[in-house]
Amino acid sequence: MKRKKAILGAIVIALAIPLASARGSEGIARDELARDKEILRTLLPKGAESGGWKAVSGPKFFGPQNLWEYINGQAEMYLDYGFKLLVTAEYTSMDGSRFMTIDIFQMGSPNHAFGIYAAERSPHDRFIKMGVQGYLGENVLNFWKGLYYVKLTSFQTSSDIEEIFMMLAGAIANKIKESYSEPELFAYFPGKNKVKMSERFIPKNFLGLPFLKDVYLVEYKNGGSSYQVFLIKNPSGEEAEEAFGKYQSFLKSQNEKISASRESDYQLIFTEGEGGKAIFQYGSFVGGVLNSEDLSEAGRIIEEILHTLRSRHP
Amino acid sequence: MGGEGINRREFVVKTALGLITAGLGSSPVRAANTELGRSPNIVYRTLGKTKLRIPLVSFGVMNSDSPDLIRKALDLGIKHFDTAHVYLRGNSEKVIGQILEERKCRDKVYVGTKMAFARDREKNVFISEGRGRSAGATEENFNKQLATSLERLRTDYVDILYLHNCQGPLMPTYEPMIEAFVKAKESGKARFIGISTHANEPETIRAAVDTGTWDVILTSYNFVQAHKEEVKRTIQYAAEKGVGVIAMKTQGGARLHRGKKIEVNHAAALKWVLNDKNVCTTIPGITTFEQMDLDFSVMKDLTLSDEEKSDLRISSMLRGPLYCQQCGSCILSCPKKVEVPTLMRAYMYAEGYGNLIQAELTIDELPTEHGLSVCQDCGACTASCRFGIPIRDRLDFLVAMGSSKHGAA
Repeated sequence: MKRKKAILGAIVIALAIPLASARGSEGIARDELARDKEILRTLLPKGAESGGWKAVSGPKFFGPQNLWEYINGQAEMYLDYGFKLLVTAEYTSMDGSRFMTIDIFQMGSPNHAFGIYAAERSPHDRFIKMGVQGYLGENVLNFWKGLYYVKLTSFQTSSDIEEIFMMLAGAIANKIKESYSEPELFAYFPGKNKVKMSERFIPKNFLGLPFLKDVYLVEYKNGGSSYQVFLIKNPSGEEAEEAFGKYQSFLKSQNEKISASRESDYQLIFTEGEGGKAIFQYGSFVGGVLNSEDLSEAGRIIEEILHTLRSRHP
Repeated sequence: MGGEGINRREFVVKTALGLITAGLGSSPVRAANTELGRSPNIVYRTLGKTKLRIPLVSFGVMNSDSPDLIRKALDLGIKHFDTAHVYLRGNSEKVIGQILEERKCRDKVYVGTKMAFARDREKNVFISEGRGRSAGATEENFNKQLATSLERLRTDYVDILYLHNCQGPLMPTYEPMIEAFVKAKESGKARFIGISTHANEPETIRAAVDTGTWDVILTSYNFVQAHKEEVKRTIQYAAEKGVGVIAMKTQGGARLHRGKKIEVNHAAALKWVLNDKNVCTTIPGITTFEQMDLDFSVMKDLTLSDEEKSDLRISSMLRGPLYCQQCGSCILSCPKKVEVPTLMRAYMYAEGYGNLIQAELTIDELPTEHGLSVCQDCGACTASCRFGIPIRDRLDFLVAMGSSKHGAA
């Protein structure tokens, strides 16, 4: 009888622990959500900081499961960039004649916020100092800071619209405390021939390959030809080696002719033809040059990156 | 770190470069050519009266701006690329334009893009004033958007130009837009014109077809839609009138993947749609090479195996009964005009996914006067669903969920 009770007790405990822990994590998630919602609500301009513009609808919140209802086909891309929560509100001018929509996207990390911001900017935009960085377009002011990608949109253009954009965006940016800057890995990229404002952070499926994750990418232009340089910091050297090996196998599967060499502290592969590539692995880093028409230039770029990496990550 | 070390490394890099130049310099081999040789059988269908011949699987370039994926798609034999003016603030159109120019193949592929305009979300009609995130539905804004899209796509015409996201019969029949699109077709900037829809599809498609203006319908169509038979019949109606039909959201849309993490058999879901011969092609959003190969391979044989049928049945059972079509017709049957579709979504999150947080988030979206608190005080629900969803039961569930939450607090 005692034995039976003991077994029954053990079963009850075995069932209860995961249930309690599930309830616990549900509770934590609920608290986090309530906190995030409150923060987003607070970031929206109010009172004196909105210069007479006032919210006429919203705030409305969207999470990962219903973002598609707001931005439709683009939702998947935002989810890939670690989207967590969106607050949107419509504002109107004092006389009610003009409208503006403010969207604040909370992303998974500052890198993700930068990533989705950078995916939607163009080197031809008019860049401004707003948050970490922003730009003004005909109907928009977009910027990012910390976890947040912020978009202000108005289709009622007027001579003072930029001023209003700047005032409302400034009010939001000022409420995002702490200072942030672009992801530090961009400092490892060569400066020569770099296209300004072309930096990207791509969290998933870089080049259509699931094993290339959290990629820092920059566009370069030399005369009429363009090429890209990328860099990945993997969690460990083993994982970098694995990703490098998988990429090499993928290139072979595509019948790319590969030339490979291995040195004491790095390995290197080259391919030629349309979209020539030079790829290296050094410690936990994988990087390379893509779409290079000039492999000796690609080699020089890799040497420069390796030099920087060795000095900072010996 | 001595200079010697660096020199040796430089030497190695240069040696590797030397090897590659000697070995490959004269005959660069494109993976593309061999890949084409290994391609599965490509099956084409004709897109209604446009007479465009398109492989059953096309490429929806909304989730990726990777040039390599587009190159690979071209190598595989994908001929039709679908994008929109708004995707990635134009960067999706730009990458397509870049690769088509690089490959010098603009005249060998078909490009579709979409123009989006402001709408009244409650009435599902276009409005001429810019609101929300869209410009007003005027000819001037249309011309501006089209000019920008053509510039991004590096072309002077698109093959299919869509009026984006029509959500009811009043949208594809909106005269100012019809006139603007017809002019674009007459000027040669658009070879064919169409509408896209993913809400109230049957009514929207029928209205679009009846105008006699639109050449192509791009519609959501998948195995989990509760009204899929109605969509199927309307697609047939369109096909009989010579209007070409392209299917999107063939996997059930983003919502299917992100909720309870129900794995969908992609190939089976695509086959399900393509077994409807009135559908010319599909535009799955592709983000990896593997996915592209898988999607493209369905053309080899569209027969659904027993296993694939079973996969679809399971996904459908998990999703189907919970899936509100968001048509909004139930709102009229509620005297208090409660936003029932939003609350049905909340129910789906709570009961279907076990995600009470998302349910709460969804309930909170609603203004008090059209939200759940109205139901709580009413108690005499008359709201009815044309697709048979038991609205009253589900609202009771949500109200109870709210009470227990407050009770616990």
